[in-house]
Amino acid sequence: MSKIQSHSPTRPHGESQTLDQISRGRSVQVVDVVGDDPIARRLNDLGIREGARISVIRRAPLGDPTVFELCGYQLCLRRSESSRVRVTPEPPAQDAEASGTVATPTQSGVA
Amino acid sequence: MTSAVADPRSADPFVFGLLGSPNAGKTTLFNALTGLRARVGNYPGVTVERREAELALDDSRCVLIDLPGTYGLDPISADEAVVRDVLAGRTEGVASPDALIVVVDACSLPRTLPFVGEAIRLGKPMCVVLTMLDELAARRGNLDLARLEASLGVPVVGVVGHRGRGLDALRRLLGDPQSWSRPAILPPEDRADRAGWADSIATSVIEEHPTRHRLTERIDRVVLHPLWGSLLFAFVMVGFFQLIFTWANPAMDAIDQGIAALVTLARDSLPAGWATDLLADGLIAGVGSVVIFLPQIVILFSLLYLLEDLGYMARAAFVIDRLMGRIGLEGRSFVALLSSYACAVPGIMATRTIPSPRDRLVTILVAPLMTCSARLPVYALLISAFVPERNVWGPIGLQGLVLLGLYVGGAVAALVVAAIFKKTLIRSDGLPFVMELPTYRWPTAKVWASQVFGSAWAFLRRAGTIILAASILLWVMLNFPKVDVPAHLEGPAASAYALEHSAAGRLGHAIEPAIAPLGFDWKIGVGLIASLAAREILVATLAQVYATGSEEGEPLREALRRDADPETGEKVFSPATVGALLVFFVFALQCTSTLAIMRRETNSWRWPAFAFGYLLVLAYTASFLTHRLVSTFAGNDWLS
Repeated sequence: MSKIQSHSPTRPHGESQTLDQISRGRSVQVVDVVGDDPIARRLNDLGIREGARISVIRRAPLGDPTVFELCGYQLCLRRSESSRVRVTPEPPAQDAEASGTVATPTQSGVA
Repeated sequence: MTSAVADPRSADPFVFGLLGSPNAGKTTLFNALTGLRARVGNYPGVTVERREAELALDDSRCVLIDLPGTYGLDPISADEAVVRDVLAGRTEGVASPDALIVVVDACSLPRTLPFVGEAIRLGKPMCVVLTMLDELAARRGNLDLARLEASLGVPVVGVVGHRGRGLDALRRLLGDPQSWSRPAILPPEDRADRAGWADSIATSVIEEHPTRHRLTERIDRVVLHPLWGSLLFAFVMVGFFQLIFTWANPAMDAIDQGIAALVTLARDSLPAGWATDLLADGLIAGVGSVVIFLPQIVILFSLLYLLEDLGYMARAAFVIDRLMGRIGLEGRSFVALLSSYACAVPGIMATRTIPSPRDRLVTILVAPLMTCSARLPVYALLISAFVPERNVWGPIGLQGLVLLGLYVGGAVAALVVAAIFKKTLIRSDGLPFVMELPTYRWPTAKVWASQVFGSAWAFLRRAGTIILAASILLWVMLNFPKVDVPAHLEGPAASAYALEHSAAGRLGHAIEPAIAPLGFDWKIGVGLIASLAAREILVATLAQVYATGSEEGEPLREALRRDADPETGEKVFSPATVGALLVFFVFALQCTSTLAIMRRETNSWRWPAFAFGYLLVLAYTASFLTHRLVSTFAGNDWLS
């Protein structure tokens, strides 16, 4: 199981983005969940772990919450929770239909 | 302990605990294994439902406990601590499970594996039941079950709970928990290491990841569309509310007439006397006051479970969540509050779909503020008697506006009170809002029917008995002690005299000083006491007090308009008093059925007592202010 260890400042997009900022239809990979409190643990239990792939499916008509897809299921999160998940964009070439936690170590092609 | 399986005569039955995430199919499996013989209660100190049932295996009797759904064993709230405490044997009156059945949704295995690892570390005999294998196949996913069993070191069985597939194999496995394999090495204790352990297992056993559910994707494109989704939400919610109202009405009328016919039959065939009165007006009418709710409850739960099992409920909650989030609740509270427009009893029962026990409690506490159908006869009487029939703007009449104002007032009060409770008394338990969107699936008729039947039965058995007892008590108060009616009084005047001297009548007089600031006299006081049985009884009681002998039409309205204080000559029903009375009914929890169902759903008298108290204070205060305001600004002249 390979993990993404790259925290270098040379990657402008990877470090600064959180899950709530990702637009609909994009897929991202989880870098980490900010904090070590019960909410962070719960997000962890829900499959939001380092290396997990998450797709942004759609937002509610009123703009919040958002449906995400990960680990083969769909999960609604509000901004208050999804903003705690730091993510890095996935290479666009990858098949967005596939899901699962099996992380791909590829770092090339980060937009 | 484990010898109980081998020895069926043993006093302590062997206890299996059913553990798993919400939506993993835990409850379906529980029902499939036990056939709905569940004893339902609460865990001590929290509003978390506790379900257990006997599990009949071939040669032994066991108990199956359905533990609350959880995503992990590391609790993040007091309510979630229930699972950990039961597993550790720290919960009084609940046997610690001797073995665990961990239910896992096959489609989201990578998510659940760390949880399985946590469960294995508890050291109890354990097996894993994989559910939703039919959905996994439909989504062209594939798992190697044998390899999963080998990697975990515990038995793994696949089932399709609602079709009953795989249950025989599971029953055979449950018959002999001593033979269950145990892992040679426990999964890692550290969270991150355990995630790595889970990922390596997932990589080796998942041969094909499930694709997205095509049909669900297509339906959601419409159902969750910003415009169509919102329109559909409005349509479903209005339809839901309308059906509870309109479909239930014929059945409720039929029950009403049936009960009236039974009362007449009892009066005609039995000798006159108080025993007959008790049977006819106390017992039969009391049973009627319970059964009258059944049509609404059956229709509500038929629709609720249908929408839930189809997968729409989660979508509806998703669409409305932002608005409910503003007051500290979440989307799933909306449905319960909307149902309460028809009646708070089914509305409170509908809060079962809210996973957070605190949100559920707050929703239960404010549900009585939604304007239920029982308030309508009261509003109709007072508005038609005292609000002038004139148009204020085009075809819009004043009477209709007042009625609308009362409806809106109740809803606004419910939302404001909910927001206050969530900020003060019943703060959030720190649980983040998380909700899974299940794939759409057809509910199986059998499962659906048994859920509806189970809810209706639970209502009859648990709340019905309290409602019946309260109706009889109120009947006694309205009819005893018996007094000698003066000879010159007869007909309605005689029954008015008897009522004034009954326990309720005396109580009405006794509370008069307390309600005088609201502009209410003892007659309204009797009406308020009687309307504790059900709000609409105010109308019948006022008819009796005013000795009009008729509940409808001119006589009662006229009598109310004419009634004046014998000393001052002032009208009893001044605009201020009418306003105060209407406002009182917006807030007050004048309904023993609601109190009974609150008692049943929260498993304590504490919350119904609290709700009754806070709503009484609210009603009194608002009513007092209304009386003052109207007295000051409107004067007494708008009736003449």
